[in-house]
Amino acid sequence: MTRGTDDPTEVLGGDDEEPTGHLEGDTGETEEMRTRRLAAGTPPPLPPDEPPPVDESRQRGLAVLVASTLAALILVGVYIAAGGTDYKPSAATDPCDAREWTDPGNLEESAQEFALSAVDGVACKLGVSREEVIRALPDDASRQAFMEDNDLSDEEVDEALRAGLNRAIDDAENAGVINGLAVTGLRAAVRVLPVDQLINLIENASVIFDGQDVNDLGGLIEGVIGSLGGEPGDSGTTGDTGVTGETQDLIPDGLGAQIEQGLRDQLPDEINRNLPDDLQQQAEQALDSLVNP
Amino acid sequence: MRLRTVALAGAVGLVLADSSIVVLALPEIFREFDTTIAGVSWVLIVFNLVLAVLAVPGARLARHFGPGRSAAIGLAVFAGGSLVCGLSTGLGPLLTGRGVQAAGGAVAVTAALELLGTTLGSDRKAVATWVGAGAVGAAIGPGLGGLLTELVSWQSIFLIQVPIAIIAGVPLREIIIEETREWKIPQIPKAVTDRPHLPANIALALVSAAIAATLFLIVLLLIEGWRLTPIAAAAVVTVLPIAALFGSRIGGSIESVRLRASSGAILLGGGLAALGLLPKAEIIWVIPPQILAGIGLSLVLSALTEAALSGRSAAAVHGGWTIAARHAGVVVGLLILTPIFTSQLENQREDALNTGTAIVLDAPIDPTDKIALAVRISEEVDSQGDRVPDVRPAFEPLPTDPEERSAYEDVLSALEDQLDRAATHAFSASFLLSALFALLALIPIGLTRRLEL
Repeated sequence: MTRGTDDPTEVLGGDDEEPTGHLEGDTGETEEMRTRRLAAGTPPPLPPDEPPPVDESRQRGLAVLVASTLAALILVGVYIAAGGTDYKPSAATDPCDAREWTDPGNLEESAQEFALSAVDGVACKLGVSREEVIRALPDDASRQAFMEDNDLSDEEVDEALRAGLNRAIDDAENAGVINGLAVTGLRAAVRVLPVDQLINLIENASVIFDGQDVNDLGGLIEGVIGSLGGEPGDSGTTGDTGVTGETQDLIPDGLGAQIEQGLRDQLPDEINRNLPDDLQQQAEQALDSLVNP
Repeated sequence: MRLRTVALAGAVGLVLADSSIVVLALPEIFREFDTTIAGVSWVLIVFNLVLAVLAVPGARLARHFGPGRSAAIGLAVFAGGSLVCGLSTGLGPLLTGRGVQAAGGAVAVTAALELLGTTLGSDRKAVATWVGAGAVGAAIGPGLGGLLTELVSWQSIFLIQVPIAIIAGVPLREIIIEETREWKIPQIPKAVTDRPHLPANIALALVSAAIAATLFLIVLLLIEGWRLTPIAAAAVVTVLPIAALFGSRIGGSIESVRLRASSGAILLGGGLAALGLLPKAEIIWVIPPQILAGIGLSLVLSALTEAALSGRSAAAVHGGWTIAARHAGVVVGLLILTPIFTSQLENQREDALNTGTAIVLDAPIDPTDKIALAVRISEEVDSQGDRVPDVRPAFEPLPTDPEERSAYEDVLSALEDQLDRAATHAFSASFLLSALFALLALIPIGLTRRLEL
């Protein structure tokens, strides 16, 4: 490291210069100087003094210290520049942020978006992540563990589920997937369904949209009721109630009447503003056929 | 004479290798005993704690009863402890065995320094051999331990030490006979000080805390975080001892203890800081920091040990102080860093899981399969306890339809990337704190005039 400054051949000689231009030994005397000295009859010069070993070692030590500092700084700099400070798990999306529905024309995609919007809404209401809510959905044990972890009461979960589904309905409406009476009918259902059925509705959101005209209220309500059985596709198409005997058993007593009442509470203004008469008739018939099969 | 020197150096290397030889076996022990990362860290902590506490009393014992007899007894106790470790069926017996190993090791190592002085006829040579043997032992320890764990079992690491310790004691026969016949406690000359070199020992403790982190954390990161096999991890961490050997060559040409120690601490700190800033979970990124840390630890350890022993009487006692300082540093480092990175690991695991669930939810997979997959992942993660989970089983069997299969594989790959990020990031704070320990050593190194020889 310090050799460069101690070695006269390195100081005087460039890359292209012949080292033989210098005399042997460490005197630093060139051929030209030697000729002149011999001509003058002067004795040869003494080799330059060797630097004291301690100084040389100290210089080497200082050079190692500087090199170490530079190496450490450069390494850390390279790692930061390569993204060392950002290499961590991606932050979970804030569930309260608005969701843009992708491909709302695709019914399967819409069902999925509806479920995700609902989960976002629940998570936002409870102040947890969407992913935690998803992991809490599957069964009573996971739901119970989630409630204990987050110190939540049944009422808070109930309220959050309804808020989540209402947000999903809003998002679906904003995306143009459902409108008018469908929105009203769904809201009515969300208001009265028990918690287990609300979760079924999120998990099986596809039955709301699957294979039917989502603005056909009869089909929609059938879908909602069909979802209570937990079997997507059970809802069938308009004209088929889709309510199997097993599903019928899952519908709490008076639920049909509650949905009907909830819908009727909201119907007049909606219908007056937006809906043609035959749709109202269709809705009432669908409800009648559902609650009184 | 030569045989005795080799045996003594071997004994020192054997005992000090034990501080690190078990590092690569920790994940295996962790799994077998179904303990926690904090629990398994005690396999290291107990050994280093007992070694730190008993190093100086052990050295005084060696002066009182004779280093030959003390070294032989120390090695016998060490062998007994190793046997207990190798046969242990639970964490409790293993920790007990580790404590016994360290107690015997403390006496054997400090007595060996005294014996090397008389065997080699030069204190300087004795110190160089003693420090070198310890460094070589500690450096090859992890690789050897990893190899034995993978090829045989973690128990074999301890069982193989039993005959080695006994063999190392055989060349001490003559000294033992001589000491039994007559032993006078050596008097301390008035010209030399008997007080330990405080700044050098404090710096040693700080640097050792950082070094412990280097070995312990890198190994856990590679095996538990990045799911490498012990042999693969051993190959990766072998860079450290190789760099340390290179560092000793550099150090040999520098007279100034302060410059050597400062350079070493800076390199060690820089290497550890880089490990705290890994930009990807790829092996190539842990190589340059290990090179710097390896060179650094070699420079700083040899310089500080020399400073601590210089001009002092009773080499064994002051050697004992350096052992005490170094291993106390290791214990403090592990006690401070283990809870930090285990809690970070838990938090990061949670974040990764959330992000992973988000990836599953946003994936082009059949909506009805998504929640089922998210639940399977969640169950897989729960079943694997504290460790960074292997989520692949949750995806098996993969669908046969090529398009669906590709979607699942994309999700798996994205999820594994998140887990790699989580595991790597979980170690960041601990590596950065270790770097701080190494740099803090610059204070006693730089501010103390007594450090220069």
